[in-house]
Amino acid sequence: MTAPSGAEPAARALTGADPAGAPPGAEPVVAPSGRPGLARRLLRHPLAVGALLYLAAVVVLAIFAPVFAPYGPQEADLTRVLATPTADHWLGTDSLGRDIASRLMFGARPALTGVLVTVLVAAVIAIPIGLSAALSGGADRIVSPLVDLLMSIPAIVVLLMVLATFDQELLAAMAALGVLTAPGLVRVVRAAALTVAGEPYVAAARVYGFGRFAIALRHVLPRITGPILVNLSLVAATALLTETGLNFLGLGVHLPEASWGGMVADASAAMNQQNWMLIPTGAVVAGTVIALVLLGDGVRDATAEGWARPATPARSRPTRDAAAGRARDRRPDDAVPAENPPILLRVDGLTVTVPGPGGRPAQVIEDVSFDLRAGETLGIVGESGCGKTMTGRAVLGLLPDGAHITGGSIRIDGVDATTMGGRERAGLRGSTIAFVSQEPMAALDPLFTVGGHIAEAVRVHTGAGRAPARRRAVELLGQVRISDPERVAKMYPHQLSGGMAQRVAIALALAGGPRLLIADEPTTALDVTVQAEILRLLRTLQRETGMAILLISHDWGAVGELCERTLVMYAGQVVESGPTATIVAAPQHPYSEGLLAANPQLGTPGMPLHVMPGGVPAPGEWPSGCHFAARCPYVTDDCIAHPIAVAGTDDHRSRCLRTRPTHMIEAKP
Amino acid sequence: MTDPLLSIDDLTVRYPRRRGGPVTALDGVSLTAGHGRTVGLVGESGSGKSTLGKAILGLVPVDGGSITFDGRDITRAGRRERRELSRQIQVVFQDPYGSLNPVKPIGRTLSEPLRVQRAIGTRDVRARVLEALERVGLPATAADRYPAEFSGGQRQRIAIARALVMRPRLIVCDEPVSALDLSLQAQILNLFNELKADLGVAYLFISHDLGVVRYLADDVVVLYHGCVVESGATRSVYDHPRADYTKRLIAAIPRAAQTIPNEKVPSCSSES
Repeated sequence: MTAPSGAEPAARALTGADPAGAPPGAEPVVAPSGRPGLARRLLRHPLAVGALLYLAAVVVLAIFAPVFAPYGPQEADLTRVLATPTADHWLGTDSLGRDIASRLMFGARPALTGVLVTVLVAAVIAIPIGLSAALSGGADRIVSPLVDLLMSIPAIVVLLMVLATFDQELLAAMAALGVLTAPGLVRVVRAAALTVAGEPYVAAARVYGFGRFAIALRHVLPRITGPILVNLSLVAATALLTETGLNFLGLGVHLPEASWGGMVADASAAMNQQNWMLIPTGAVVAGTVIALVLLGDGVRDATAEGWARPATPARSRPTRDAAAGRARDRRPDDAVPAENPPILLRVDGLTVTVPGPGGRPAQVIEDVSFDLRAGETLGIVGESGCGKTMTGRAVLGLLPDGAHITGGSIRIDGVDATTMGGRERAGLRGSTIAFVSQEPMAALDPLFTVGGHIAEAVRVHTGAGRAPARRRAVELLGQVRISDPERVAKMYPHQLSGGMAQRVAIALALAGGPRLLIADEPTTALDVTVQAEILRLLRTLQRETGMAILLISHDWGAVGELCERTLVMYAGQVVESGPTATIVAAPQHPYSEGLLAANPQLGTPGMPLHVMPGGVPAPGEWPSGCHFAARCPYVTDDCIAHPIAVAGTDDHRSRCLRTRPTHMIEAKP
Repeated sequence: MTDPLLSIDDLTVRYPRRRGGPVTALDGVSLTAGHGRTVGLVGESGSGKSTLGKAILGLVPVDGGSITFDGRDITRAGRRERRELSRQIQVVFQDPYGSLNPVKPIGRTLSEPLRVQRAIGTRDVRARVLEALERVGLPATAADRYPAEFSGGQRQRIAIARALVMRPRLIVCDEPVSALDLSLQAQILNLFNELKADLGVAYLFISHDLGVVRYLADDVVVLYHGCVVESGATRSVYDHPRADYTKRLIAAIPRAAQTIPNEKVPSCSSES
């Protein structure tokens, strides 16, 4: 391998890089990124910071109330009752002339202690029980029904009973509230832990001989701290409101001790004489509740940021015309002789851009051109990240959010689909172009029967009545070789096997009588024997209906079985196109060659497989020269210097300098 | 002839269902795996091949039959015995995204099995982790980073490194390359073969991909609905399948290149 230094940046892809075969030290991996600690990350959430500052202020004022408060909590000045804010009493006074600011500070003490008790009790009960229910089926059989039972107990009745029993001791009531909120929290913990417990890394930990307890502590709990924190903040908020409510009723804190609820009660009693007092007392309660919830949100986000991939920044819209102009300049000569059958789909210089990391637009498809004639079968082969699916979706007019066409054209029956409106475009889908995906179940609504589904599609496309549409649906199911179409038409999607579901999805695609079927990895999720059946079915249907098929696949086998011609895509470009048999037998582009040779089916047991070092560079990190240069065994200086144009015969072309005589290189910069 | 490393005899595993009787996932399965050999386990979804892997790892309870590892019955090994066994038997899962704990740096994930075994000191743990990373072609700096920063192929290397830190004698690989692209798949398959040659580790290689198994496995076992329908040396099973199901499986492999003579396909190794 003689990779020149200029090719290094190409290999430094974040997603695609894989340093096989490269010597240690020259490995294309991302630079280590410094991850700030939880506290630092939390500081990046302005709302959480605000909430934190507010809560900190409340806590400090509560703890040091005797120091900060200008007056004692019971210090009454009967000459100045129900005063509005003044310099002496900067939040005014209550109905006994006591300073509101001071009483709020002292009142925060029982409020915060109560919230703390509730949260602690709820957490201590709920987290271990929820975790054990998730990790042990035996515990779950006891816990789940018990939780359902406890959740039906009316909380206020229990709280009143506790207050009566414990001589109006507020902390006892708050502890009881913690017990009462625990079942809800148990459910949250159990559900979150169940999801994590199903992950393979938990199974891997069991293989090391970890016990359930250690797994819960080391692997499950850290993953679910987010939802737990959010729910605890909600528990805290509810606890504060409940406590305020109890004190408002005169329960819990004994008068004349200060409590927020008692102050609200005082304010509401004096509302007709003076309504100012409601504002500071209500605001402090509402503010604390909001701060608790916001803090929970912020902590959850900050916890996840510690290990999650940095989020991509917001999308930006680059100017379409500039990029289009560039694409047009680089368009390869496209002199395909016009002969029958007519060209159904002509993709010319297609360029698709998505917002990349750092907000810079990154191309995911660059200058893709191909023709598809009526009744033809064309395969698109490549690895993930090469743009094959994006190409299919661009033709369908279903690009994902943020991705848009920035150059070139897609002509369907001679009409440029990129200039069509949304409605016009939607009209093409189903009737002219249909789509079959890797996940057939995703195409089927679980609430409809198979027959109802297809009949619906038939009615949309043909305007047929209910009964004819129903008959057509059964016919279509027969056409996809389902042996008992009448019975299957009455089935629901969940009753179908994977292969059957894919047949139904194909029948659904055929409902509008499409002339082009785009099949994106239609067999990848299926068993080998079923794969072969579906490929055979597609081939038969293609012959019967004369529709063209665009098969997107990573599997040379599938493409070889079905497609006359093949495009090989690498890092957003078509690197080779030609008859499938020719490409497979004598690939012109080194990537096609490498991809074919990496196929273990063709490998000799005991001999190492041909390996292309590294991986596909991520969009936005493509070099200006040949995209494959960093992994190519034949790379030369010319490959890196300029973009490589497509060359070769009309029939078989490739984007490689080696495919043509040297004098042509000078002709094209 | 020495005893095989792993020997499974008449193994039966049933899964209980909420309604109705239990489902039989494995029904009287027997197989052996020799020291340093690769046994391919093929079958379609629902054939019980993953269940067999889990039974060996102690992740599902066994209803009948026995699993013998290195002359010792491990069918119903307790937790302490499992912990000890995990030095000998390790696992690599299919999903390179789910098989690493996303909240832990790679170094923590790799050192965890060593620390739980308490077999070696802290300094040696670090050395062992770096050795395993190097073994799978990753730089030492990888230890301080999180799984999200790695691509699928790199994560699968990390998962293999995690299996290797224990220096096991058998690695159960459950569809380890199915989620990878062709060129990354080739890199990982070569890595498996290198490790086998250098460390003498044996693999139980579970896969639905007959092409991969043909390339990698010394012996192959074909499972169908929880039963072994055919087993033997890979070459002879592929060239002369006896069971109807095996014939169907092999006939179903889509072939892009069945007409091409092998020598036309370029290969680095054969050119030198």
